[in-house]
Amino acid sequence: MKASLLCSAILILSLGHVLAAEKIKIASLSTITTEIANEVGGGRVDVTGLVKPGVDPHSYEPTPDDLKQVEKSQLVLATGKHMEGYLTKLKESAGAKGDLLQVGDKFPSLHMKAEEGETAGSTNGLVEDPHWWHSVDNMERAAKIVRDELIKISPGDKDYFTANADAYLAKLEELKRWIKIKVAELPRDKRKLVTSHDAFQYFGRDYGFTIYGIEGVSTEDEPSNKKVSDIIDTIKTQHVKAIFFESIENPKVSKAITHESGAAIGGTLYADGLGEGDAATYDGMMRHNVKTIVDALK
Amino acid sequence: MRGSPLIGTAIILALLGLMLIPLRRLTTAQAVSSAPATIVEPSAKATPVHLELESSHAPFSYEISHLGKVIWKGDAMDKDVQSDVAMEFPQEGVDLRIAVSWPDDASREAVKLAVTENDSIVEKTLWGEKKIDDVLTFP
Repeated sequence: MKASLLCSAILILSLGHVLAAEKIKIASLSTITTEIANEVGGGRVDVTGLVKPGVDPHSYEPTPDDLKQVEKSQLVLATGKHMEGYLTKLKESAGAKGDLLQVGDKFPSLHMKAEEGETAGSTNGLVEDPHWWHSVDNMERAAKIVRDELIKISPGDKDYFTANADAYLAKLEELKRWIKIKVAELPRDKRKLVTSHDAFQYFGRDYGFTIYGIEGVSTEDEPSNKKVSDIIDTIKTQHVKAIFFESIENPKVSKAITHESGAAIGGTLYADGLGEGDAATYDGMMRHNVKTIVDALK
Repeated sequence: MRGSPLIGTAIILALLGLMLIPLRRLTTAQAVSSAPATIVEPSAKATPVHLELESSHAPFSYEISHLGKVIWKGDAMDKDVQSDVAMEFPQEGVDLRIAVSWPDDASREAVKLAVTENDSIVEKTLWGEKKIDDVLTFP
């Protein structure tokens, strides 16, 4: 009798251990949300990043393998604000049982003029800028949103997720301070940022830059001749010293503008997510972008 | 031994002619060196600005930078220090980096920076423990 009780106790404890060790499966549709999920979830989550570094999220299309990942995930993370136009289709096709969390939809958006023919998320000729992660404040908001979602899925891990989130938030605060100090090296009247596509509005708002995007909010938008001509005029009249390319784009139009306007090539920025090497982390990506911008425009 | 006065005059004239070459070079070089207006421009745009730093604890060390360059620094024995500097102050405003440190016995402290430019005063405060290194935007 005693032996069978002991066996049962061992079995229950083992089962409990197995259950406790089972990680929360997360499918992430952006390199940004992949980092947040890993940082906050730590060893208690198993994150599959479906959109890899260097992949353009504007033109990404899920593969059959991606659908399988979504299907077996307890949580699907997306950046939201109409960045992932395929989301509804993805949810339906995969028949996912897990929660879909569009992180960016939980906080306010900046809006910009819609390009000709742009309909996704367009209201009164305005579209939401989906590139919210270029504001560190938004990253902090996102980290808290993911933390709360993970606690909802696994309430027993509340302390663990909270501690991880606090450590990540402290790193983001330090990054924010570094950016402020670096940007302060650049006179406010020189904070004019011309980039390949319109992805830096949040950054501009936080640090006093006026943004001129050659293309629209998406990398798939083609600039009209008039827009290119206007940008060249702006560069000349505003005495913009340099313009910037982006890591996952064809810089043909930007190069032509550089040639016409006389502005220098300021360097390559990461606009749509994390990259490789130094830019493989959010901290590294932001430091790379800020350093490239400030040093070129000084 | 005396030479002809005609030859002497010719030699003097030739020497005077030779002296004209370096003179011309000097005057030409002067004109070129004054050309780049950008070197002079920043100081021409600079206006007098009064800075006043008030700390909740003394002594303290401070360093104020503008556009990556230190414009005022020192060690203060009193809680209040002030200085006049000349700096550009465009309409868009200026970002000042403030680095302050207090001795180890200081707890959570605050420092207020007051910037007076063109009779207009703007004050901003930062808080920190033992040290602060942050940026304030004026006005």
